[in-house]
Amino acid sequence: MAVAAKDLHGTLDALILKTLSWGPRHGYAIARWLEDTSADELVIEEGSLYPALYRMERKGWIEAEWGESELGRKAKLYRLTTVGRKQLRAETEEWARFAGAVSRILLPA
Amino acid sequence: MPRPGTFGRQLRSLLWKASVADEVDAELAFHVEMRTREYIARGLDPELARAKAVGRFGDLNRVNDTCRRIGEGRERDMRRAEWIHEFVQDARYALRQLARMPGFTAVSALTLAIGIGATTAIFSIVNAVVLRPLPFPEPDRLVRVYTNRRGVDGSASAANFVRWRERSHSFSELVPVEYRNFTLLTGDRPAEQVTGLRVSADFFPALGLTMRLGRPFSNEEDQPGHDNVVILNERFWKSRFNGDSGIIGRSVRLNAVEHVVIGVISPAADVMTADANIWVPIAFTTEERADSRKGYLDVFGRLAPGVSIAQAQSEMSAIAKPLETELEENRENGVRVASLMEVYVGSYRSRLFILLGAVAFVLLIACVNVANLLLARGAARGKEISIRAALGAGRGRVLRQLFAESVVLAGIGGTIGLLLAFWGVRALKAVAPSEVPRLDQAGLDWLTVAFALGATVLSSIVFGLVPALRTARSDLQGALREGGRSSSLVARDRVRQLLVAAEVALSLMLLVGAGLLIRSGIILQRVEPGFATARVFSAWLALPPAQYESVESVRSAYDRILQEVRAVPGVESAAGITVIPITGLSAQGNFIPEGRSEDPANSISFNFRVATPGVFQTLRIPVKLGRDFDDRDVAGSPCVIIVNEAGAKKAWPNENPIGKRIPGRREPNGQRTMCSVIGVVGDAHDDGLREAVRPQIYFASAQAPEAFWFAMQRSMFILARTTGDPRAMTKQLQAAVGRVDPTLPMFDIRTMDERISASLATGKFNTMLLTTLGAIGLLLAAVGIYGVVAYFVTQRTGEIGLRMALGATPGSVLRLVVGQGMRPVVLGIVVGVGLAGAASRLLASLVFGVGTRDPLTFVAVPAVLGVIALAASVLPARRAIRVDPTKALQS
Repeated sequence: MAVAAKDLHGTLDALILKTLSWGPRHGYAIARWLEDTSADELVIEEGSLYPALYRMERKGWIEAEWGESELGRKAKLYRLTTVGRKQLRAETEEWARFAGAVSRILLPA
Repeated sequence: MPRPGTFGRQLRSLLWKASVADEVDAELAFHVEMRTREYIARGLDPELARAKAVGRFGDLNRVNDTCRRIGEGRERDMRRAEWIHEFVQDARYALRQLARMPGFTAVSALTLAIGIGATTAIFSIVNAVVLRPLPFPEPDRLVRVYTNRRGVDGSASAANFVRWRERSHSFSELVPVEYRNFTLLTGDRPAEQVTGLRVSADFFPALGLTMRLGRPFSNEEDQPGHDNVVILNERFWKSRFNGDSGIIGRSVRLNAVEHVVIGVISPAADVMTADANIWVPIAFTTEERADSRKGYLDVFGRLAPGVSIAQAQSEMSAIAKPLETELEENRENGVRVASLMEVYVGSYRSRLFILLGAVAFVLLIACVNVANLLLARGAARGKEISIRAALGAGRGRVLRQLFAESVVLAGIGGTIGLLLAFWGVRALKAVAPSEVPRLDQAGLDWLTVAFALGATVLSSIVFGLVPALRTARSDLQGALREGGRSSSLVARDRVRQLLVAAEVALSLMLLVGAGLLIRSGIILQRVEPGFATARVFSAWLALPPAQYESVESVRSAYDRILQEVRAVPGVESAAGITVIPITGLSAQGNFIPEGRSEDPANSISFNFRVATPGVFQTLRIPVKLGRDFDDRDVAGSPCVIIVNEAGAKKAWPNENPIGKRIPGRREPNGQRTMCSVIGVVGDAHDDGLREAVRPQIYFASAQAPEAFWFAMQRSMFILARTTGDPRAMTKQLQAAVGRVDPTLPMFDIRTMDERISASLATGKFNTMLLTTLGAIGLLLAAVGIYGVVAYFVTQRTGEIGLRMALGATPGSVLRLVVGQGMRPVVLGIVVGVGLAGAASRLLASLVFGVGTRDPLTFVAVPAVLGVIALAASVLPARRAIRVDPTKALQS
């Protein structure tokens, strides 16, 4: 069953940052990439995605510029900033700690 | 927080300047469209694909709103960040510019620091003394109520007070206070003299005073017979009882009567009654309630809601009218209601505001000076600014840059100024006379710091704006062409000269004020007090009524004390007197000389006091006619008095006053005893050296009635003329008093020299402050004049060289240059004299012995200022005659 990314508290930001670490993307591409990569196990809701992008832009983790999409249409492209890269590292570590702790409980060796 | 990138925003604004809302719309529309294509690619019908894409998106409007809100927040953040960034950039650039000219920066910052520091220090004192409200709830409703007789405020009698309280409706509370001295005995220490207050039970609630410990007086305790309770002042409780909270319920002896300590009062009370250590219930007896002869109550009131002082005054005047005849010896006794704040700080208000005005002048001079320096620098930087303008810096940008320099400069000056103010307030508190109320509370609080900040900002605008505008406006092309020497130089010179003229005028006004006060001080020093002050010891004694009930016991105690004092080796003579001259504490009474009608017009107001034989010898007040009191003048013998020359002249002009009589005390049968003049003595100043000598009457202490001793709390000053330093005699004299009564403490021990200088302290303080400010102003003005002339010389080096090459003598060049410097000085002096003539009237209450347009001051000050200005312009001008013509012409 597919999981809505917003259900994993605080991980949406990390997922978006990770997506952008491969290069600039527009909002739709971010959603698609996450869906494809997780083999549709993760559903990215637009209602959470765009506010998250705007929030992170305000925090300075990502910046946006208008550019050309693959199909030659004007699209708002987001890219990671240096601060965002640092934030991604921090969130990844945080996630590893969290997942490890949860695993130790749910999947005891 | 990191600064958000500006790239996207700049790009967008360059490309299509879309609003955040448009961007969000476009972005979300793009998303929906991409999703639609995705579904079409998967084989869905376009209609259906679009519907599904929209459906999947969810609440499009809500997302749009959220995104827009966040986006707009980001725009705001960025604008703020950009602004701060640019400001920091400007400030950094300004700092670099200032660091490049350390001399200019040091002089300007120090000039501003002096101006801001002096203003802030004085403001902090004005704030503490005058502006801050009294520390009581609703302080503006608190009033003093006086018995007022022919325009002179006095203390109220108990009979008057109780009737005021019964009949008035203007006050929610009306409370009496009597200052009293008590001998305190606790068993663990020798007896000591403490000052205290008798107050009614509702005194504490009336002023809103709260208890630190225990409780206030109850209404029952405010009744005679139930009043043996006492409340301690917190300060006294700490110093005398080590802040022991077990004190409540303990018993102490006050004037030989047991009193139970029931409370400790919060220090707020100190504001009005700084020297009161203990509080007891006033508990009027029936006799006191009926007594209208002795005025000894200070009456305080709290206005009832909605009642103004004027309304209270008119009600009280109406109440006082019938009381004039209803009560004994109450004729002409009116009532005056005055705001407590006015009473408390009234006389200091005008003085301190004059000072504040004076320091504002200093700040203004400082600003003018810095403006002048900036102008000179602006001229030197003409080329730099022209280049910046040529490279595309807009006029606004240049202006902002120049202004940032002013702000940074003012910031540095303000910071140093605040430090100066911190030390300044300390220094002022150390040298200020002690009677200035609330001065101890002056310090750098937030309001003072805000004031300093305001002064800094204001001064940066004042000194920065004119030069910045001028510099930015200068003819840029012209400046480039002429290599920095633009045609607007002449106009700039005019502005600079006007600034110097303003400086000179301002410092002239300050110096005239200082000069008038210095002149007054010198004249005051020459005033003869009417008695010889050197080598006279004085101290105050008060006999506790419990041990010295009868008049006889009081008299004999003072007789024996004086005998002991006279027997101390090193004492030339000794005497007792109820009020020492110069202290301004004299009791006043109205007397009609014998043989004149009872018409109030015939009554003469005398300062009166009671003295023992030997007082004139001890104080070296000359006996001009007749004799001093002696052993003949005792209780049973005819009443005798001694008057001073001023009194004799007023009462019996062109007559021999010896043997003349005035009515003295009232006997039980209602008749007044007539007292005959047996001597006339020299005039002694009573109310300080400034005040004219008043008519004075001395009564013989051996003949003073009980009522008098009661009113004076059985107290007297003991005076002793010594052969050596009177201060060194304190121990022996205390021991002498102790041989008569070991429980009797001495109080207010001071030499007469000390009393005289205390009476002059306030005047000296004012003079010192105004002189210091004047000197600072003069110094700053001199710096300003120096700067203008030095600048003139630098600018005209070529011209001067040419003149000299053409044969001009050094003398004529010097005259030219100095003349250039002195022109604004002369203008400033002329304007300053005119303004000072108008403004000096503000000092009318402070000057003594000279008019506020004292010709000497008005000639001497401009002369001194002129000489200093001349020196300040000759100094840099000498550089001009050392100019080497060949070099000057080459450059």
